[in-house]
Order: sequence, then structure tokens, then C-alpha cells
Amino acid sequence: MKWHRVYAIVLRHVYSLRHNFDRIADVFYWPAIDIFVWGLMSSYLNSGPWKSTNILVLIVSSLIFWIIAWRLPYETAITLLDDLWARNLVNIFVTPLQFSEWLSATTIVSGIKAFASFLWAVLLALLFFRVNVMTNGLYVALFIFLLYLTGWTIGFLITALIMRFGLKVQAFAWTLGAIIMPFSAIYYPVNILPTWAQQIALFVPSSYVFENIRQLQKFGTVSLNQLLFCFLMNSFYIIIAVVLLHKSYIRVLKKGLTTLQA
Amino acid sequence: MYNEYMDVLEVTNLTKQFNNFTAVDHINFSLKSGEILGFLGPNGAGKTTTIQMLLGILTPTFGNIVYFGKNLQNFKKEIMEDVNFSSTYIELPLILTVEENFNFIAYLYNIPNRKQRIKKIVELFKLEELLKKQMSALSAGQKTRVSLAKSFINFPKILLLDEPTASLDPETAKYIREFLLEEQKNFQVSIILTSHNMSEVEEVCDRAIFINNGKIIANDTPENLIKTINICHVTLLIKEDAKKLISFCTKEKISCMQDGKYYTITIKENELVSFLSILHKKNISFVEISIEKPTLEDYFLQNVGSMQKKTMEEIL
Repeated sequence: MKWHRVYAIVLRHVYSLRHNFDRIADVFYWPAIDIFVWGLMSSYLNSGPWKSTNILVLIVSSLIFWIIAWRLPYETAITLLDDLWARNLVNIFVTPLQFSEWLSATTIVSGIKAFASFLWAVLLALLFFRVNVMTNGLYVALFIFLLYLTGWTIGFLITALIMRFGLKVQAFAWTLGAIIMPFSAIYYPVNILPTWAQQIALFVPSSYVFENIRQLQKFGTVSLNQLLFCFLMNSFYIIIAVVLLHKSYIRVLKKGLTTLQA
Repeated sequence: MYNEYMDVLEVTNLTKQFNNFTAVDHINFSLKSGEILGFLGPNGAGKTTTIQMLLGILTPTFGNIVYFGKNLQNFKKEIMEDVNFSSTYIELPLILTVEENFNFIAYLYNIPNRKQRIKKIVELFKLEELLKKQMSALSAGQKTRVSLAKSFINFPKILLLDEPTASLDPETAKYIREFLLEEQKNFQVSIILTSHNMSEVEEVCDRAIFINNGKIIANDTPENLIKTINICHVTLLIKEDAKKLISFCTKEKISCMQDGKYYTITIKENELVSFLSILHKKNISFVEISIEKPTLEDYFLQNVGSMQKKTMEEIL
């Protein structure tokens, strides 16, 4: 692994971001819309007959953390799509660049963009709704780390599918990340879900994160056993995702990298 | 162990099959240090498939690609440090400026004195005015120049150029051809180039490989390839009554191209006398005649395309 090549690919996407309003809007626009819609709704629920002491904090903080798991798959897939749309994939893979270096660059670019969205949402929540999710520093870092693993896993799976089937499945970049949303129990506890969905949620790592976010807000504690299990499950999934992505890459080389751009 | 006297590229039994279709069929060739090799053939012949395999972006079904004594499959990273590629049909990201494109690519190759190298490349390819422009704002010819400049950024020992002068104006194309020859002379750069411009191949290539239906059908110097065909082009200036010539050529299916009052007829060299005798018999008079030797294009048309087959003896 040569970091100058990883840096080169990161630089290519930073340049792209500089000229592309769409990509900047992606990072800041949708998180802002979500924060305002959900924040205002929570403010309404916090008043009058719906009054509850922590519903605003509960919903807004869950949403802020969800932004990581939601943005990462998209940002990961869009890194590949940007090069497919620009017909640039051949240019970069005829250099000494290795698959692992490209993957590292993709991971860094998506990670930075998702973190920018997260920080932006944190700032908006603080400014407009006086909700501060950063008060429990270490736990926050742990939640972020676990959600990053989940987000990258889904991102790599979507990227593997795009590499396998080409631009005809590019819509997965926008849609597939949301598939775990109902089972992640972002705004409600897992036991609210129907029994069959609870069984699925057991295998969705982000559900453990959101259960623990709520537990931290309510009781000031987290279940480290659950979070360790979440980490192991995440690690297992991310290894599978990387293997599948690499297999897709090897497979596309058999058909020709240029076929992806068609 | 590789040494400077060995071929810089050796291709053995290279084959690519897509399901039941064989795009490239057990081809063998090599490239010497400092050699410019023309890789020619009609559309769909297997040129692009071969180039893609040589670049490591398409896995061969069978066969070996060895650069500098190292197998591409196992040493792609090391090999690609010294190889580069340019194609009229593969664009750099349009949203980036020319400078940004050069910059990130220079990082990919870890070019020492990156800024100086980019400056030098910009000077060589006369890109000063385009440097701050986005690729999307460039004309097709300017994009080709940028893509060519990019291919020289890492001081390549081997260059794979897919139609390097397509979409360039004649003056720039001439400059690029001269530049390639200079680089070959000064730095022993070996080049494989595909082109549909046969006069360009004749001018710059030391050797030409013709590929058709995935197989190599010829591999020799352009001069030797031309020698194998025995046609010539007879150009006649006919002021009056050209209809007789046209109807004769049409009837006998002889290639006859018109350019104003000039008519160029392609016939076999040894049938030139018979042809002139037919013209005399048929009272087809001309005021000027010039006879041209065959070119590489004639070789291409005769071996890959379709040419008139009827002999003058048959006509007589």
C-alpha cells in the first residue's frame, strides 16, 4: 500500500467536490432538511398534549447518528459512480494503483464526507434546538465508530453490486442504504417491531447502537456486551463486504473495466 | 532476468474469449526497446481488446503478457510505473481542470518534482492557456492533446496510444508525430499505437501488425508489407467524355475515384500496360497521367477490406 496513490484518489474527489454543487449539496442539504423537519416535529411533540421531557433530544440525536449510517453507503457508492460517470475508471486503473489503495481512498473520501454531514447536523441541532449530542464524548465516539462500520459495510455491498452489474443498478446508491432503516430501530425501541422484524433486527448492528443511544439518554449507561457483539457482527459483515467487492472487481476485469462505463 | 537487449514486451498465445466468441485468438508478438509498433485492423478486429489486456484492465482467457521480463499478472503495480496510455475515447474527469487532472495523476505515479514535471509537460504540449480550464470546456482536439500529455507524465518506457492523433488538426497531428519520434530517439520510448490513418503509421512506425478476426495476419515493417502487394494507382486527367471511362470501370467493377476532372483507377501493377491498351481501344483519351506506388492503406484494403478481383486479362 502506497499512501501517495491513496492520496491521489482522495485529491481527485476533493477537486471534484470543489467544482460540483450537487456533491456539496449532498453533504449538507439533506441532513439540514432532516434536522429541521424532525426537529420541528419533535418541538411540537414536546409541547401541549404531547409534552414529554426528552422526545426532542431522543428524535434529534437519533437522527444525527442515523446520518452516519445513511450517508456512508451513498458516499461510498458515489465515489465509484463519479468515476464511472466521468469515464475515468480506466485512467486510474492503468496506473500502478491497486484495488486495496482505491478501496482505502474510497473509504477515506466517504468517511470524510459523512463526517462533514454529521458535524453539520450536530451544529444545526445545537443552534436551532439546543440539542447537544456530544456531551457523552467517549460513548459518542464509540457509537460513531460502530455506525461507520455498518455504513461502510452497506456502501461496499452497493459498490460491489454496481461493479458487478454496472450503471444499470446505480439507483442502489440512493435506495439500498435505507433497507436497514426500519430494523435499526432509530426512533423507537426494537420491541415495538413485529416479532419477525425483531428477529431481523438481531442481525442488524445499527439496532444495538440506537438501543444504546436511548439507554444512555434515559439511564446514563450503555450495555458494553451489546456493543461488543455489535462490533463483532460489524467486523464479520465488513469482511464479507470487502471480499464480495474484491470478487466483483476480479469479475469485472474478466469482462473488461470499460464495460462498466457503458 | 531482464536486460536492455531483450524485448520490453513479449506477448505469447494471448487469447480472450467472451462466452463463445473469441475476440483475440492466440496472438504472439513482441516490442523492442525504442520501437514504434503500429497495431492495425478494422473495427472489431480485436485491437482494443488486446490493448485492454496489455493495460491489465481485462483479464486474458489464456496466454502471457511479459513486460521487462516480468509477468503482468503478478507484477502489474511495478510494470505500470513505466507504462502509460492515452486514448481519444477515454476522457479525464470533465469537471476537473487540466491542472487538477495532471496533479492527481502525478500523485498516482509519485512523480518527483511534480510541479516542475507538470510545467514541462504543459510546455511540450503547448497547454499553457488550457491549464486552468475545466476539461468540459475543451474542444475534442484539445482533450486529445491533454490526454497525450498525461501519458508522458511518468517518463514512460512503454506507451500505448489508441488513435493518438484522431480529432487533431493536421498541424497539431504533425507536431505530435514529430514529438513521438523525438521521444523515441531521445529516450528510447517504445510505443504501440493504433490508428486508422495509414500514412501516419507509414511515417512513424518501425513495424506494423495487422489483426483481423482476433488473429495476426501480418507483422512486418510497413515497407515490406507494401512490397507484398502489386497494385498501383493510375490518375488520369480527362477533359471530355469521362463517361466512357466511368461506364467501363463500373461494368468491370474496377475501383475508380473521381476528384474533379481527375480519375484515379486502382489496378494491378503488371496489368498497367493492358489497362492503357484498353483505354486506347475504347478511345478513352486523357491529357495527363500519373502513376503512384501502393501504400499501407492499399495493403489494408487488399488484405482486410474488399478489392476488385477481376484481372485485366479477364476483361480483355
